Amino acid sequence: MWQQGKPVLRRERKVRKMIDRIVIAGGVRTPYVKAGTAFKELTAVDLGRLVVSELIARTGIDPGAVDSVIMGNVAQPPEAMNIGRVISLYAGIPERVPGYTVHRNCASGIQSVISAAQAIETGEEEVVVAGGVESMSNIPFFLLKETTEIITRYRRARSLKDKLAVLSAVRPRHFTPRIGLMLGLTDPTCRLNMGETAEVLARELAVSREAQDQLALRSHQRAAAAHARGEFVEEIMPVYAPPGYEDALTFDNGIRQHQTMEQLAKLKPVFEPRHGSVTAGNSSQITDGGAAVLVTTEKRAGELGLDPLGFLEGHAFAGLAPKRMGLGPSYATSLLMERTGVGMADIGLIEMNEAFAAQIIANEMVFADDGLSGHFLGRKAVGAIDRGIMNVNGGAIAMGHPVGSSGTRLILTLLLEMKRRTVDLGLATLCVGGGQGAAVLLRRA
Amino acid sequence: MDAFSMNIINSVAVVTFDTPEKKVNTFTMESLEELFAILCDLDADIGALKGVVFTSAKEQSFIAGADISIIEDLRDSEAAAVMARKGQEVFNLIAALPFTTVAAVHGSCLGGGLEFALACDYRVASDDPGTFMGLPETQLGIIPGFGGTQRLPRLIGLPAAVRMITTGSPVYPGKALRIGLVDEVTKREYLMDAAMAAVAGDLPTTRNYRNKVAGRLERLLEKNIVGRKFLLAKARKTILANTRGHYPAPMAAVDAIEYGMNHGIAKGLVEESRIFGKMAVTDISKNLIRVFRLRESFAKGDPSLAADIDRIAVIGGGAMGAGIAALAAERGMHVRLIDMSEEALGKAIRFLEEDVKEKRRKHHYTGVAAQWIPTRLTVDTQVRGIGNSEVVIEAVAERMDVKKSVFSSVADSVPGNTAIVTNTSSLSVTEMAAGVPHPERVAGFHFFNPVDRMPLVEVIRGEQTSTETVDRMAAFARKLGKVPVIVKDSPGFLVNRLLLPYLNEACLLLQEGADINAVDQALFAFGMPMGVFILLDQVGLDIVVHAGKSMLEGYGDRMTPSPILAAMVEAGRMGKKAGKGFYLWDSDGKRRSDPDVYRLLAPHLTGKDAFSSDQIVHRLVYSMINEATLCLEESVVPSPEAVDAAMILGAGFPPFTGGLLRYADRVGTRDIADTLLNLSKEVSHRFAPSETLKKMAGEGGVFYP
Repeated sequence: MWQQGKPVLRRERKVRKMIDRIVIAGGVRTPYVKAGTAFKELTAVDLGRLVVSELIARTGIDPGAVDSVIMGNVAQPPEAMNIGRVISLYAGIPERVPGYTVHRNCASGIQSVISAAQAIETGEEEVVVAGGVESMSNIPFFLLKETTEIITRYRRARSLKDKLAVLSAVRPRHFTPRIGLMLGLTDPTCRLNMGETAEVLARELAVSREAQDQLALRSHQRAAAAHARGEFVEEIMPVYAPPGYEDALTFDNGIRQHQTMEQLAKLKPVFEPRHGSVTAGNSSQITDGGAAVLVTTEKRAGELGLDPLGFLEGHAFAGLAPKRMGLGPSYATSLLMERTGVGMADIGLIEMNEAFAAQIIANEMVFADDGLSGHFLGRKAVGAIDRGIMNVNGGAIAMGHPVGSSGTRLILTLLLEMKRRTVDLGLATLCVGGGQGAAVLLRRA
Repeated sequence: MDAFSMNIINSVAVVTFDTPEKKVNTFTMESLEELFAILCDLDADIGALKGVVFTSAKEQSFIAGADISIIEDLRDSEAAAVMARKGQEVFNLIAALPFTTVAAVHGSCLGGGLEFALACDYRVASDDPGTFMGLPETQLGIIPGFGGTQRLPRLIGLPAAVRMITTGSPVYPGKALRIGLVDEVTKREYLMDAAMAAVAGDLPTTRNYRNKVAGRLERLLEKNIVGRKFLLAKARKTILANTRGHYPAPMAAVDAIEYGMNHGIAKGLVEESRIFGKMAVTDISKNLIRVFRLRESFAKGDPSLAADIDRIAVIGGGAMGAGIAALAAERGMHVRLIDMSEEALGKAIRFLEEDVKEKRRKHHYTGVAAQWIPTRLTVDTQVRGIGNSEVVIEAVAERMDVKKSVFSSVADSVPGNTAIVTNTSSLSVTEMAAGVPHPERVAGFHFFNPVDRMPLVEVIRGEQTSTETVDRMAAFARKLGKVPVIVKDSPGFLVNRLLLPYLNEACLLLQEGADINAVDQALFAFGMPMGVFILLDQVGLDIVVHAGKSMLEGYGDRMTPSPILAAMVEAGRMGKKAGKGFYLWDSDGKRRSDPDVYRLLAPHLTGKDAFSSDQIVHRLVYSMINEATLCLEESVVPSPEAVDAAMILGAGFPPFTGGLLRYADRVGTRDIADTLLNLSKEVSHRFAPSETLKKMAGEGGVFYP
């Protein structure tokens, strides 16, 4: 199964120390809502406008005090090119404040925060609104290229005769859509969709179906309990959804309150129907949602009268084989620890995005075992993960994974829980479709 | 006067209207004469010219109409008709010019300004939101007298012309193009180019009504006298229902239109001027013009005082709070609406969305403008996120303890110079301000229901309110498109203080044996927009009872509430919102009489008297006048103008009367005081005329000397 490996993690380059400490000075997110349900009439722009204007209101800063807006978004709706800019304008931030959009697949919500930190570090900006939004409900269908050409020829045809000639070339197959969501979740370079990459890890590391289902169950149980305890009240803004605006949604509606192992066991594997183990029940959900945080320096936060949630102490992005993208956290965390000198023993709380239960378990194995770590990363193992401090309030399997937004949510949720538990150092890490990993080190304020 | 200048460009005469030292162009007899002279010159110059373009040099206005002062002073219908003929002559000359004439319209084009443009061969307009065309003459009790009733129907068809003239509503460029009123709509920067092209006959191919298939049926009907009668009969019916005989001008306009269609344009113009003359000297017209001036005087003010107000907070998301939030968002402000109930917040968001949709449908907003409006509203269930607001408007329940608590949390969340104002209708602003740091920034800011339709805002000066705050809030009211009247803090302020005795008196009349329908009919016939018991049901009897308590407390037993109100509330008959009050109301808002009311109220119905309409009006309206004199005595408002403006704009007092106190002048203070004196002897001392009224009666004084 495994090949004797050459070291596959790239060599670490020297990274400049940040001068004035970068803080996260506030944050808010929408509830995460299953695609096709309550948020389906809200666009990604709406979600962004809601979180950014609420962030500004809750922090009480003058919108004119913002220097830049950076939003992560994967689907990039064509009617809102540079969605970060569009969101900035609709959120009431003055026209003169520039903005842009970032895309690092599932880590787009991390990238926006890091890009904000880097702009602050160079002195170019001081106060940046960073976040991520995704409306997976509204990812469009596309026409086949052939169909597009027919339509173009039709529009160019002047006479009735020419128009009829074009129409006579239309066939039933021309009406087959290309489904944007499916396209987006498939890696072009290895022709595997995200679920299939999870199956790759399940195979290579022998992750059992039962272990995946157990992790999924725990995700739902922990998320439901966290909501019941009111843990998410601070971070979630109520959203009134069109068309009726009747309900103020505050609940991540993907969470299944009464999930059982029996129910999970009944599900058939989705990506490898005959022999696979990854099911809809032990995968993250297709979801709509948005999140935004305020990134600034410690000094400026003080001037603005804001109590920081935490410090951005370090980050790392790493590349790996696209077909094994699920192992991203192992690679990125290893690089992060080398860069910052921090070890797993120092980490008090972890958020690892639950793209798939199989992928979480695979990472747990590589984190813990020198042999596996040597094989995949060419390095010693980072250190075993204590499940008691990972995804303590549930994860994307229960709450959903609006791909452009999750990264920001992880940072926000992690910082708030670190405060509650008075934990000093926290790790947020994600796997990234396309073969990357992202990891962020946060320190409690 | 030199209001006109002329340049020749490429053999086209460009005549520019630029009234010196005024922001808008209006026609006076002088400017009309000047124009006539220019036209005569042009007429003589036939060979050299290809055409004429008429335009305006003003930023936001083409021509806003005839100067009202030339109509105000008309006292003789013959002289008025002659004046109209003079104007017609000038415009007839334009129509008769042997080359192409084009009006290049940017900004407001109303009344005589539109009649001027109608006399031209073509009209081109800018697509600016400030560009609109209309014939609002009937709103001032007259009819278009410069050819509008003759030229408009011939241009856009009979039904559309009748609608425009009788409603006076403005038409925006998009619609104007569709109905054929203008021939091209283009960006302002291209307007002159479009006008020049029009002179050469170069206009866009897909244009107007004249080309539409749907219009052909209508035009078929219009072409004969019977068809016209049919089309106009419906219009006449609608006008009668809307005006109830109090406003003769719209009907007269239809007469002028019909005459011209039946007898030809030349005879039609003569008839138009005759009818114009008749209307111009009516009391109704004079009163409508006075009301126009009155409203103008309160609506004008220094906008710079509120220029910095961009973000506001509204605390309380009920009907009023949601209405205020929607108003502010539509006027370009960011609004944070706070209410404990998520349901109320959701309703408020929906309210704004639907309001914008409706206005978008009526073309009040372009699509681009409309999409921004809902983004300006954010909501929350807690008082937070309001630190950047320049103004906070409190609109929670009418309870002092609740309001004081809101004021306290708000004061903790905003800087000391943020204005905190209350929409209260019955509680003391002075008391609300007590205990708030920097009480000089606290004032009352009282809207009327429904917020988007009622123009009045009472700006209430509490004992500690600074003049700066009062002036700033008045400017803020104007920024919201409302008309502010400044009122001293006292129970009921002005409008409710006059309305409550009016409402109460109706109940007292009922006790003495009056019939509900009869009383309502009497007030309706008087000119009030609705009967008094209908108004009671609309406002809500529980609210009237609640407000009545403050009035009794504040003013003593002349304001003693009729026991009928409490009895109705106890029986659950709150009014329209409860489906039953003095009438039965169904969910569509339709009303039915209910004999059960008399049975329910039997213990209170002591009398069996019948009352004439006059008696009803005397008891209800004269009480209002009396109370108004007390308000003047107590300096609640500084002038009769303030009383009249407030009652017209906040309570719907009929404008054709000129206002409550103008009406009083017409009746005569002596008659009023005598009637009240008799009533105070025969019925109750609550009718006792005030000192002011008695003095005026003795001296033959008037409110408006």
